[in-house]
Amino acid sequence: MSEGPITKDVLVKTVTKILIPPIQLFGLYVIMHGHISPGGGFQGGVIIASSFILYALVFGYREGAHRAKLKIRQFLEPLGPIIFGTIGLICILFSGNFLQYSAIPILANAEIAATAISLVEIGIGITVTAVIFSIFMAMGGRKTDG
Amino acid sequence: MKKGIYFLVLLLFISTLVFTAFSIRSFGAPPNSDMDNYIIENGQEETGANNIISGVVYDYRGFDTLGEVTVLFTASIAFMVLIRRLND
Amino acid sequence: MLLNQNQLPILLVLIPLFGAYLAAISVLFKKKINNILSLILLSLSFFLSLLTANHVLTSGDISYHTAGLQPPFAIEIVVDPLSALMTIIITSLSLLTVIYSREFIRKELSDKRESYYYILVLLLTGGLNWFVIAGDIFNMFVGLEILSISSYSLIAIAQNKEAIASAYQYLLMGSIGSSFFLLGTGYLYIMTGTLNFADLAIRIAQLGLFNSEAIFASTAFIVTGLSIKGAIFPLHVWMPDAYSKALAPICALSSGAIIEAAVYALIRITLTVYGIEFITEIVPVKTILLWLAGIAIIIGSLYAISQSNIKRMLAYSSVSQMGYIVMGYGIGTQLGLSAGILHLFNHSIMKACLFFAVGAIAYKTGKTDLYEYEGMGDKMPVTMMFFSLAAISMVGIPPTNGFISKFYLVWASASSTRWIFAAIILVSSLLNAIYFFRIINKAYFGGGHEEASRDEAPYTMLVPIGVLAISCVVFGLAFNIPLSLIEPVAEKLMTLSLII
Repeated sequence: MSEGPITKDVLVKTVTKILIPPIQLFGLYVIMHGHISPGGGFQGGVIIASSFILYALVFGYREGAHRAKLKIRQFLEPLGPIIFGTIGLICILFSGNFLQYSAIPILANAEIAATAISLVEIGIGITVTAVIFSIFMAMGGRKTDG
Repeated sequence: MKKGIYFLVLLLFISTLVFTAFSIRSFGAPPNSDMDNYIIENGQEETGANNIISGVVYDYRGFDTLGEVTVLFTASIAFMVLIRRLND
Repeated sequence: MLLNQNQLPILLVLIPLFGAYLAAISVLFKKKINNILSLILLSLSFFLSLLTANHVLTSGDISYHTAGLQPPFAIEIVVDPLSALMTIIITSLSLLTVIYSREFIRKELSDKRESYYYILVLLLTGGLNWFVIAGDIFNMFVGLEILSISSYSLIAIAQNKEAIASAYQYLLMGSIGSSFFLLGTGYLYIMTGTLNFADLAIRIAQLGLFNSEAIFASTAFIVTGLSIKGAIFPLHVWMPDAYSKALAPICALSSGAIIEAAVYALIRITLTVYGIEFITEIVPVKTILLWLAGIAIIIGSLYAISQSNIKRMLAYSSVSQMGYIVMGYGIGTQLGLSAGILHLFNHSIMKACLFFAVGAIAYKTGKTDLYEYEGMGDKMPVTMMFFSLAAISMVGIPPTNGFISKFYLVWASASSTRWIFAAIILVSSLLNAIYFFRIINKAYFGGGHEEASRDEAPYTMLVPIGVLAISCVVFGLAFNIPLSLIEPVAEKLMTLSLII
């Protein structure tokens, strides 16, 4: 893939600009509603990552790397398992088993315990977005700072 | 010679898959459905998730999901080390 | 105490994994803390694994229900004495690897890659612990994935062309192994509707699935998949290439823990899920593995003799040593099983020590070929002494641990009147002696005394080698310590009969 934009076509750029917000919104919707409707962190994360990939494809590799910087991605990659694991460990601190959400006093009600699932899904969504986009950038780029 | 061995192994593999396909239970007719029934009946109550799949993925088998995320994370670390040229 | 003792197994998995996540973030801020971080966390997990073993021995097996829900539905983690022993092997070896790597990796890898190396070691430890304490076959697969991906990258991390090529070969074969394991799991799940080990065993018996082709296929796939991971002859071909090119601490960790864990999983799954009758009478897994092991022992030793690269030689020696372990399992008596698992424990100590020592010599002198070892006994006396100790143990000379487990194996094969395998073990000890004494002879009596000046490896490398070499002797005398963890499980596994 070349470093610069692959197209100078105004039409493609404009359509991409219009398209990216709905894609990201839909990704967020899929993540947030994972415990009610089909979806979840993995699926939503891939959708959001696809919007970044679209951006990098149309506006060029360098622009994509500028929008989602390597350092930020590197910070986000372990965030999902950290959130997931921390929630699990908090359950252990409240003398429940690992991931026994109902052991946490605030989440004792099963209805509210579902919020823990949402939290976990947000974390997974972040990780999946960062990892998928990082893999795309690593495989697509020739630059060393990808 | 070598190609012949590969072909034989491939043939063995395919025939295993084909022959066992006949002895597998037919689709939608599980021999034991108590596990499914238990989760369908108690899933919402025990996990609080209205979507049973989410209940299973993040609660009953939440530990596996943590593992899957870790696999993704490991893959990204592997990419950092091997594919992405570090500024050596 | 804040923590319930029953929470120990989950912490064994979570501490290394959490360390890896935090280390990945720490890379962004400060570069040099990963070694210390992994050292602290792995010491902690080693301590916890000792506590777990103690807890398991005093108050029985731990069955841990994640999410606090009932086992066949939620994931169960089972720690019995054998898995506690495996976690001790894994955490102690990775702790020693991290200590050893401090100097070694600084020379071999760039700064940035060095910090990723420790993240991968932490992930590997977490994955291995996950793999050995799983009580659920899919959960075990997840652990297998974590440990495989991190081990592929660790083999390739040396970043020369040969290392990447051999890691790629390992990746291909390992992926086939993983997918075979997954296929076998799929067959089991589709036939029984459950994934929990204990529940699988009960349901296979209840539903009368012992004559089902799907269950045969699941056995074949799982055994083949784990044999690839465990480098069991004839599926060992990835190992010599990978080990001769990879960094020495990774070879030690891999041959000391990864292939051992795969064989452990093979023993655990075949004996708990299918049961001893099924794998002896209906599908002759044990007989096949027994004969393959017999061939592996001889062929592995012969190949090892023909190598001149020492790491390659040690890799072929691992092929033959895995043969011993599988032979113990294949003999099919309780004595044989405990002998095999005892050899698994001893082999991880001896082989890790040998790889560490070879790595230290390569670190100081750059010599990897056995014909260059002349005068090494004068140049690096301490390293060479520890190497010789482990080599003697490998050959099986008393009072080392190698002697004990080989003695047990001979005893087990003799008491089940399989004389040919007793003979194979004796012949192979002779072959082991040929290729190890050749090195010792070169190092001490091969000339080159004149130009040799003492140039010993740094202490951070000598300590792990020394600890392992001394434990070769310690466990040769105090062999009842590992046996006290092995025998109750061997008895339980061999008497578990589910065919109704």
